[in-house]
Amino acid sequence: MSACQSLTTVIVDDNELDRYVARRRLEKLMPSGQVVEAVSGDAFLSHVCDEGLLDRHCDTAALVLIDINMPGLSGVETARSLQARVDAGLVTRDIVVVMCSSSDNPTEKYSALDIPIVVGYIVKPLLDDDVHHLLARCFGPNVGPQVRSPGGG
Amino acid sequence: MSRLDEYRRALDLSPLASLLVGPDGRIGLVNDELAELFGYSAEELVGQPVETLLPPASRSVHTTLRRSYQDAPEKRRMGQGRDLQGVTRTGQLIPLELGLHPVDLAEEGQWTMVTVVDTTERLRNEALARATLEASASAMVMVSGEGTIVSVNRAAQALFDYADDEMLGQPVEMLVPKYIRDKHPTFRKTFSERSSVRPMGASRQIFARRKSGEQFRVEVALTPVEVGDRQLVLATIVDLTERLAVESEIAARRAAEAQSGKLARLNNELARFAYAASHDLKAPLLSIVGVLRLCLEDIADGDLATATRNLRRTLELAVSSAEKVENVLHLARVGHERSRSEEVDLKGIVEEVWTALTLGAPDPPRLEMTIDLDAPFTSVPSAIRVVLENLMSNACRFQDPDKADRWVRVTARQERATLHLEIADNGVGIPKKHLPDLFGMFSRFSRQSGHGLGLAMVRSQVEHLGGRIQCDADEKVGAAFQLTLPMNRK
Repeated sequence: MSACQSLTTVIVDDNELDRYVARRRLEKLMPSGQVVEAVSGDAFLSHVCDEGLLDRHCDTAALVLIDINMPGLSGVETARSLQARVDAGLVTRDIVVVMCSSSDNPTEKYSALDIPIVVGYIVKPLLDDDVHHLLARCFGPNVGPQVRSPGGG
Repeated sequence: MSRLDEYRRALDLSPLASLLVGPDGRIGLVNDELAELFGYSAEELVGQPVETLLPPASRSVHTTLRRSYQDAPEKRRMGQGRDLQGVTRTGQLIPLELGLHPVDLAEEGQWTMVTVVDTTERLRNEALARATLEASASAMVMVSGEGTIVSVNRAAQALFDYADDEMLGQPVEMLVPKYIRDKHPTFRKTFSERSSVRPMGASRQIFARRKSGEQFRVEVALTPVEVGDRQLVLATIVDLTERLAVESEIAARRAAEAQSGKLARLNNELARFAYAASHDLKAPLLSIVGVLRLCLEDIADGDLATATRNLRRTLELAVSSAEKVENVLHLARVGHERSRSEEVDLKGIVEEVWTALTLGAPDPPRLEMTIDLDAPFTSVPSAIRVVLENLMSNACRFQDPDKADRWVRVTARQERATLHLEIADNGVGIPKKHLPDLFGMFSRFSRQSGHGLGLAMVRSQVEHLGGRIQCDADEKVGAAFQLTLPMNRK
């Protein structure tokens, strides 16, 4: 919680390798950012949300990458639960959610876009370009200086 | 007592109206029944010519007929099949049937004993029966014991396409197709002997023949009917042509519906499979792509240790994915390979599977096994093994570490021709909401789930063996998979 001036990113994915790839990408592009992993929707909601990581400690929003296909609570269900917590004031930090999947099936792509905190959809694996565009789009010039340009990675 | 007195006694005892006529054609004796029938007293009739009892118009003819009978007397009936009438004292005509019996009284000459039956009632009944027959919409044919058509109704004439009088008096075989005409009299006799109401040709298809020779499917009900003292058979004939056409149309439509339903199900299944397979087989490839990109970057950066570690991980994933593809193929092959049924050593398989599963496991649950079968269980041993391996491996994998006594229970019992097999555990259970999709392909409900193919495989095998499977489970309590399998799979 000390990295208040930097980005906090949470990766919610049951697949260990995919979490690893995402973490490496994120760390490459924003070395000072904080990356937290959750192995399931349930683990994310109980450990990450409820332990106050997403409470307002600083001005920047938190980015949450949620895998759509997970056993137990699905990615879409997880995003809805998160939205409910935001609406109830249980999560006070600004949140930006991006859904991830290995499929570019339109049904999946749009399955979570009705949830206000969900702003986008990424087909795995996460690439530098994706992360760069995502961060620029979500956080604009505020986080600009902290993000390495894709070419420079 | 003279012979005549003996006859008087017999006449008095007879319940039938009777009279004795002398050689001269005069009435010798009458009983009370006869006198009453014609409205006379016995005394009034005795001594009168027998023609007194006949309508005036037929009296002279009768006198002639009587004389010729006298020359060659024989026991016979009169009036059968034609209109014979008597006349009462009041002039009322009554339809009659007579029985003539020559009585030789030696010196008193050739007498004739006549019994008289009033057929008014019978004729009325016959008329009623004819009217009923005629009014019926069903085709009806009345056949005599000799196989002659004695009566047909309009519906029958229309059905067989004959004119009014073309059928009467003809053998009923005219309505029977040529191929079976020779045998039909035998069938008829058999029926007459049993003489009970029954459908004709109960066990086979029967055909009738129209005037044109055209044959058509019919249903015939045969009813024995007693008319007077004649034993007749009433055949009611139903033309099945239309009904069969409708039935075959319905059957064809049903078959088509079943077929298209089956195709729709298969299509649906295929679409689901294609989606699930593409997703579930693509996901690991994309994970590998993601890691390999990092490896290239790490190698470029000179970080060979990290690259090597990650290459190992992608290798493992590639191997496991190949295994998954192999499992999909196994699943697709269920039911497409020839499988011979033989006696299954259920206990032996359970024990072997259990040993393989728990060998070297640090803290395995305990196994409770109850196998209680009265007869040998015949099925496909390799398929039963696959089913038990999957279900018992799941039971071990989803144990609840919070429980002190952890068990897996395998129970088999026989109920007539069915084997009831249950694999239960007191593990973490399955949330109720997942039960409907439990046996679907690539259904994974927990991080501990494997490829999501095990239960799909189990269901496929069980159904292929002619059985069914269901799951009863609750979160925290445990799961129980119940199977029914035929004790003797052909």
